[in-house]
Amino acid sequence: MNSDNKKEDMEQPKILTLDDDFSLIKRFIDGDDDSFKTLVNRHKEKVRNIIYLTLMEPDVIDDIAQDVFITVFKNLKHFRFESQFTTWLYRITVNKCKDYLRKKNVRKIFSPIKDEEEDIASFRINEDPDIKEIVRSAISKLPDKLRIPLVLRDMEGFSYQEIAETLNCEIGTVKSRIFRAREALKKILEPLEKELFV
Amino acid sequence: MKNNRYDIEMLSAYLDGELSPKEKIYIEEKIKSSLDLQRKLDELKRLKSITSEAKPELSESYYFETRLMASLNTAESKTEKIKKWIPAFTFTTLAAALIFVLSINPTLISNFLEQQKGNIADFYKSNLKPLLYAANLTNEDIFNFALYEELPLDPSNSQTLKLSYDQTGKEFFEIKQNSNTKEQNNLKNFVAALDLNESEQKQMDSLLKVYSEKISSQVLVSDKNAIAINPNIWNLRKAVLADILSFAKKHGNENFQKIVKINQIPSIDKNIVWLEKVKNESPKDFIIFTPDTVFSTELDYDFAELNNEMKKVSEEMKQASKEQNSQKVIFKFKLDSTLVGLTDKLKSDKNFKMFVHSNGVQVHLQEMNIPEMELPNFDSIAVAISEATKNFTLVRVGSPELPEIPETKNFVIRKESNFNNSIKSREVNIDSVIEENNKRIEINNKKRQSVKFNNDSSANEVKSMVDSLIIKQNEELRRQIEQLRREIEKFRQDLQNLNNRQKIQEYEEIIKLLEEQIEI
Repeated sequence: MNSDNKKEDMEQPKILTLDDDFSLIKRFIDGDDDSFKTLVNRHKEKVRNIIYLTLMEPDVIDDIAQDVFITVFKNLKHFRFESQFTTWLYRITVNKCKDYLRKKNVRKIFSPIKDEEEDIASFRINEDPDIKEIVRSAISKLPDKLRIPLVLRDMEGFSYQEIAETLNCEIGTVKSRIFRAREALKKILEPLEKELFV
Repeated sequence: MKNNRYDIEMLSAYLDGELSPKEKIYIEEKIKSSLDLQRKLDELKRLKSITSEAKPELSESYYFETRLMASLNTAESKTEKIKKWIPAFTFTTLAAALIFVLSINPTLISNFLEQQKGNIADFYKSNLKPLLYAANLTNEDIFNFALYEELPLDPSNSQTLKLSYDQTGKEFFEIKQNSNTKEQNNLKNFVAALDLNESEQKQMDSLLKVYSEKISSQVLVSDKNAIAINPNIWNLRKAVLADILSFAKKHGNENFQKIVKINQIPSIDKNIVWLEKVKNESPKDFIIFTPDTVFSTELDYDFAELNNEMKKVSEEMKQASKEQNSQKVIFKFKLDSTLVGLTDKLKSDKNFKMFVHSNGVQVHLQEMNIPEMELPNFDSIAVAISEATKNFTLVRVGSPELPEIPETKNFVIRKESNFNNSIKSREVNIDSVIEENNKRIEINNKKRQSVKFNNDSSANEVKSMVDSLIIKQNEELRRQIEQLRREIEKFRQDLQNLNNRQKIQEYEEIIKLLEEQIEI
């Protein structure tokens, strides 16, 4: 199984090729700044995608992604090689997203009420409704707890195990949250069932 | 239902390929036997597929690494660790330095605090200017100050400084919003009532002018919202009143007696100039009142030099422009909630007690040294004069163009007298008196007739009663006419002083008209 392999990795990190994550990190620790660039280049799109899917706000992706890699840069020397680099990277990414959401919620409290909530049904008025857009909008209405596991699973193709590690929770919790997310999403999309599921 | 929900949850994980082999076998069997679960699985599949398809396409971020490297290379990231320690390091160093310095010089802090106190005093003492230049004190203001104990603090007269004595005889001063506007022509009325000639008026003006400068140097204001008061001002107030009264008695004795009842007139030594007495004993300690504190401090002020400078400046300004806003210092004491805090601060202060009310603030002097000197207390007369001046009304005779007549005089006529102020209303009054009288006679006649008709026996009695009434009314009328004649006589005498013949003719015509009416 995947997890078994990982355990082996943890116990004895194998340098398979010269540019796998672990060896890049080691080179970075040894003072090779270019290896960090390689790491960034390799993972930036995934990181940006996670941010986009988690927040559904295209404007803030790059700023948060920059922040993620700055944190990685500062802490990479303390990396313990106990888990995959990506798990660590994605956890930092999700945490940065959560920080952003927290700050945004605080700002919301102090800002005047706006009609931010768009009615899903209003998409029907549009003559040429973009189904993808409707679904994305519906997903964005899910609470963070349900939305993040769902998008990591269905859009990013994470395993339950990976999601659990990224979100720092149990697999059972991930399973249950993904199920609840789907139930909730179905309810939100119910008025558009015919258009969507024909 | 619970089983069903558990099954559906498993269905969701089944779809994701996340079930253990055992669970997988279990759910597959369930699906085979349940149409519901089959339908549900289809539904979930569709949902999963549209969710996956909805994954947004993210455009590539150009220069991502370049940007990142730039921010990483900024001094911020590398010096952050050092920066983190800078405040702690600075604080520790300062604390150590302070301990070292205090061990050598233990009185440093107390000295420092003393110095600060001095600095605060200096802060408020700077820029203090005599009230004359701040409020543009006029002779009228000084006269009112003598009578009402109130001085305007600014040219618009919106705030005033009131000096007074409390029940125990202790002095207090009050800064308040000026709500009730005082009579503006008190001095003019007073001078007119005394009937002073030109040179006497000039003397009066110069007397007030001297006091104006003296008083304004006793009250200083600054743009820092501070007001400095010399305790001697209470004495000056008494002195200015005494000097005004003594002048009034000297130059307008008869008229003065008309204003103030004879028994009220004090024996004033005409030869004493009270100002001279006060001048010599002016203390240097000023009471300085600010929204933060009240304190008394010595104030060395070279008034002579300042006066010269200010005179020069004001003359220059007059020449440069005749704008009204030439006053540079506009003093306005803030009467706000901060003063309430000050009352708490002053509770332990022996020298001052403060009371804040809606319209202003009162500061009572408890143990202040106000030089005691023998000055007559004419406050009761001040009341009498202020009452009297209120009841004076200036009537300018020769209405349309008086400026043509150089020797025009003002006539003062008592309001209370039956003789009315304007010529026009006099005509109306006589008419109305006669008219009313005629009406009364007519009504009485009617009454008499009706009485006659009803009761013949008492007719004679009623007739004699009505006759006596008419006689009485005629007497009243005669008395009024007599009084009117006297007034006209006086009027004519006054008119003789006028040189303008045309005006005299006019008035004689008016008088003739009046006399004709009286004869009618």
